[in-house]
Amino acid sequence: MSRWILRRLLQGVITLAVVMVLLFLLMRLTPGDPLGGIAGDRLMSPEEMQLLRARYGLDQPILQQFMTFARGAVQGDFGTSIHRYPDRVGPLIRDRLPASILLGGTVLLLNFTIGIGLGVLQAVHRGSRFDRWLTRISLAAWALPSFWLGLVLIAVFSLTLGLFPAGQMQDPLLPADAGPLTRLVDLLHHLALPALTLSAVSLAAGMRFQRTAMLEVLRLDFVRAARARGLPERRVIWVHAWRNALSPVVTLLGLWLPMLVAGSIYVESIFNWPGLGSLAAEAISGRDYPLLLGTAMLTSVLVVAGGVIADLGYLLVDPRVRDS
Amino acid sequence: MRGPLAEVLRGAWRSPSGRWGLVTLLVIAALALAGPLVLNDPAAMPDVMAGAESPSLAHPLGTDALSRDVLSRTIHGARVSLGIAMLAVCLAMLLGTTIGAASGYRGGWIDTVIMRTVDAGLAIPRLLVLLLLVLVWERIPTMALAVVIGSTGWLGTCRMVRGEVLRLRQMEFVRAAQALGASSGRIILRHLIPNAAGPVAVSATLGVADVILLEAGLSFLGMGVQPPTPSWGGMILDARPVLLSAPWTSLAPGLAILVTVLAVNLVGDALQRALDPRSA
Amino acid sequence: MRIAGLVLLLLASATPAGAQPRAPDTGTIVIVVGQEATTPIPTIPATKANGDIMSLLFLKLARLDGSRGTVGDRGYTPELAVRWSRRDSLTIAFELDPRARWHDGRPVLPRDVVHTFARVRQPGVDPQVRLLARHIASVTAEGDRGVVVRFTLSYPEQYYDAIENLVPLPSHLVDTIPANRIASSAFAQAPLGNGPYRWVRREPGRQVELAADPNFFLGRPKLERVIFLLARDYEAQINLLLDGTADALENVNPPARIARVNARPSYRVVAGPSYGVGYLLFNFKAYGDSTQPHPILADPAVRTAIITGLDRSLILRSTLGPYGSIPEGPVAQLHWIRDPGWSAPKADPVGAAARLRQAGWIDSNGDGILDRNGVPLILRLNYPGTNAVRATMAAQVQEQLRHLGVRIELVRLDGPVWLARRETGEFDLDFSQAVMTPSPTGLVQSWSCGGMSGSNVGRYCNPRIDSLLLAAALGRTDPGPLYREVLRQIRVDAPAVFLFTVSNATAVHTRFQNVQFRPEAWWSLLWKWSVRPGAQIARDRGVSR
Repeated sequence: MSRWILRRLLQGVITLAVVMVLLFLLMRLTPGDPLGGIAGDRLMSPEEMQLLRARYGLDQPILQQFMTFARGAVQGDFGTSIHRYPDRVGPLIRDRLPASILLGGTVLLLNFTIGIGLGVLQAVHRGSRFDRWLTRISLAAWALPSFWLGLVLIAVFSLTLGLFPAGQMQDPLLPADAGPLTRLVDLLHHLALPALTLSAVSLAAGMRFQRTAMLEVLRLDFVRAARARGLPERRVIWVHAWRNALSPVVTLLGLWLPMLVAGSIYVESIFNWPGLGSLAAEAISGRDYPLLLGTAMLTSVLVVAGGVIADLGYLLVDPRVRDS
Repeated sequence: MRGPLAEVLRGAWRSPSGRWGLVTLLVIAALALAGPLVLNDPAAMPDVMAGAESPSLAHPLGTDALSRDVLSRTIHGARVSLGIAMLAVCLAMLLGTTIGAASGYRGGWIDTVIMRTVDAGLAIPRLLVLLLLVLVWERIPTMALAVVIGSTGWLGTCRMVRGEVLRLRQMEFVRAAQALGASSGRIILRHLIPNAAGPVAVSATLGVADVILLEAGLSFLGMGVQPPTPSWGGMILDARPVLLSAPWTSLAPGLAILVTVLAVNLVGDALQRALDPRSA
Repeated sequence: MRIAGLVLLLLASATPAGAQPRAPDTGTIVIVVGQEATTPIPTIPATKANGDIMSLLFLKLARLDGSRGTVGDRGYTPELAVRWSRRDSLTIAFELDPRARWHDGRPVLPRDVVHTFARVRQPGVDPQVRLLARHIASVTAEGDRGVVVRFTLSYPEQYYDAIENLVPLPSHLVDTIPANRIASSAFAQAPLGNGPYRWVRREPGRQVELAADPNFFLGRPKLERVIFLLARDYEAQINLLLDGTADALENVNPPARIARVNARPSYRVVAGPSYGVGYLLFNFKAYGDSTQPHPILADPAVRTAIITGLDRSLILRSTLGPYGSIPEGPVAQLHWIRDPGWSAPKADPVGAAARLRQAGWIDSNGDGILDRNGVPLILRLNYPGTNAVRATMAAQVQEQLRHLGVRIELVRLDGPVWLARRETGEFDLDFSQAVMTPSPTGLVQSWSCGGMSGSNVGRYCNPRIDSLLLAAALGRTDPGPLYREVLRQIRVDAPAVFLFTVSNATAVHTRFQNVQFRPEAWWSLLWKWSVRPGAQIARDRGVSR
């Protein structure tokens, strides 16, 4: 088993190495000069451009640029941002991480509690009106474009009703000596709409995964046996059956791990949420190579890590995999 | 029609929600094909000073801030959106099935290389890849957009088909065909792919929903379908400044996306249940 | 966790003003901006975002008051310099205000000005900055308040060059930092200046906070706290205004936006003229190939037909409302060289169609697009996608020209690609918007033959323009008539559709009074604003909402 884990980890490392090459190539395939927008609408002289090109090593041969990038990336150093010179990529990402983790974490929490809970209930009441309507609603929610939902929520809840702020993560005027409670309330107030937008769309996935897995388990002999032994229904479902239908939870945890940082480019830019998604969007439109490579690599690391976690989770949760 | 795929399709048609989804899709497709013949020019701006006008007889869904007809633009948008989705998904399925089947059947180092690349590709967010790829064109033609979206959508299918092929390869009938001296190409085409058709159909349907949302998102960022071609995402983008004063400009394309993707999802759901009845 | 660190940071930066009882007209202002200020210090080429904040932190020797243009020695209001005098045609002497102080309490001294000039001459300084000060020969201190600036030659804008390029830095803090390092120095991260506001903090990607300097020598600012809130998304900006998070936002020009602002009683729109001008630039050379003439646009008849065929006034009214006007050439509303007698000719689509026909353009295959010798009249119009106003204008240009049989393909580009395309000449038409300097000498960069190696990306070249501009910039006669002749010649040669000049319409909360702006540094007069007594809201009293 430990050999299996070792192999799985090695596989992850190789995947990341390939990701690095792919990302670098992809970025260099696209036209556009990263120094283009650096001076706003002001035009730069050729000497000025030359100076800047040298500063970022953009005048080096492409292979050498890749080696520089790869050497740095392995050590977690992606160099200096082009458009946010002199800020370095590492600290820039660190600055944005809390906001992304807060938003993504809230959405994950909602999905895992509400989504999975509803999925189990649906499976238990399979075929009921509750199940049918929830299935329809979740399919509809799944069909919503998140950016449009965000726009509509802003229009209704903040611009018309004035209930929630239209953006930002905190009140810019929050006094310096505000207590933790004030801060928390302010944060939740700002978090409500973006979190609702994102989870409305992804909650459905959790529900559906859990419903399917639960249905499979409920059919198994040991559930019937437990019922036959006269155990209370609630105990049968949540203790006996659900524990064996955990594999989608594990899969989703792996699948959703990147959500912690990637969030959504749309939702973050609509709500002006200071997370990594909006940073990546900015990096793309500015061709800020170092910044873009940094954010993309971070997401990829999480995707790969999520995969490994999901596989390890299977080992622990699913007796069939564990035994094989 | 016979064969596993036909069975799955029949199964989907038998479920009410699947039927509902299919009928809705057909209606939308018919509108998209026929609508442009009878409707106003979607690019015409008869009176730019008038601003967005609320729905009326002349303009059943109103006009947008540049006095363009919203109904006409929405229906043209359906044509663009569905067209891109079909093309992109066909391409993705073609790539995914061929590469996945070949990789799984051949095995060895080729399989390893392909699967590691697929893993790596899946580890990079698709939206990010698309945002970078569409920049290769300064003004991406709609056809190229479909190809780009399709060429980033085959990785999951590839992995799934490979898994199916690995499973099927062990089966008696494949062994038998091999023993009879059938070529690998023939075995893949005649025995492996048809037996993986069900999951591919499900993955294609869900792929259509994904592509519609992706295309709308890209157009919303201004990086998808280019003006003056109308697109739902582009309409939502254009409507942002007047969202409160002229909500119909945003509601029409938004609901169009919702209904279309929902219909596709219903079909996909029904297919999945037909394929794997236990999940119903 | 990170949040805890944030709390500590906030505690550490409590403003001293918060401790004092507040006057009824003091307040706090939150301004939404679209770009982040990363290095708001002098001697670095300033972006608009850096310039806004820099103008509150660092004073110049004097400031242009806009009354007399940029030529000659008058038309300036004292700032750091209390008075100045001309010694001869090559020498100007400034006398610094003895009250001027850096925010650490040290006086602003002549050596600070001398230091700035020395820095501009250092190797590694930005070429743009060096270029601007190229006619200054030396800057020397005289006594403890005198600064003497000597020029290499006698020309009309000596005074303007001196005050624009010699913005003092605190030499006691920066003299060990080399010119090419200052942008990445700790000083640039927390600059210390001498202006009405001092630096409090920057939260990267979110906001910059400034606080009033209670000892500011020209008068204590009433607005004690200024927050520049960053929102990149154009619509997110106005949402933050309308939901009450922010108090002010620039560039709300499109009528739909102005209507949204005016619909809220707590905001009003204040407009002021600007140095911005927008135009569709024709490429005189082939797409992406500067060795060949443009197959369609090299013909002046086509260019003129496009200009006269467009109803510029309709485009302007529907996109900028009352805040736009048609310029007579590459000049903005504020440029003193404008000819007050000029008015835009009416659109003439019929004449334009006839002109195209005469030039041999007919629709020979009935596809609605004119053609000549098998070449269809299709032109690619590049525009930056970040700006909704330009996007709307471009859509209208496309639609109007469609009726003339000219097909415009809109190429919406990200800022960087758009600029790269300009440099490589990969466009037929380019939707340029320039925020020009107050000085008309900048015309030489974009409209002369000499500018073709730099920012004259349309490669329009008429040697007569070069000689007129040279005579106007460095000659000894009155440059006014020469500049007007330049504009007239440009109109004849038709190198661009001059589409709009625009007032900067700014949404401001109604509680502020004495609201005033400066066109070349929009927010720099914030220190003169105050809150109408009795109109203070929670944030003005130091309470969040």
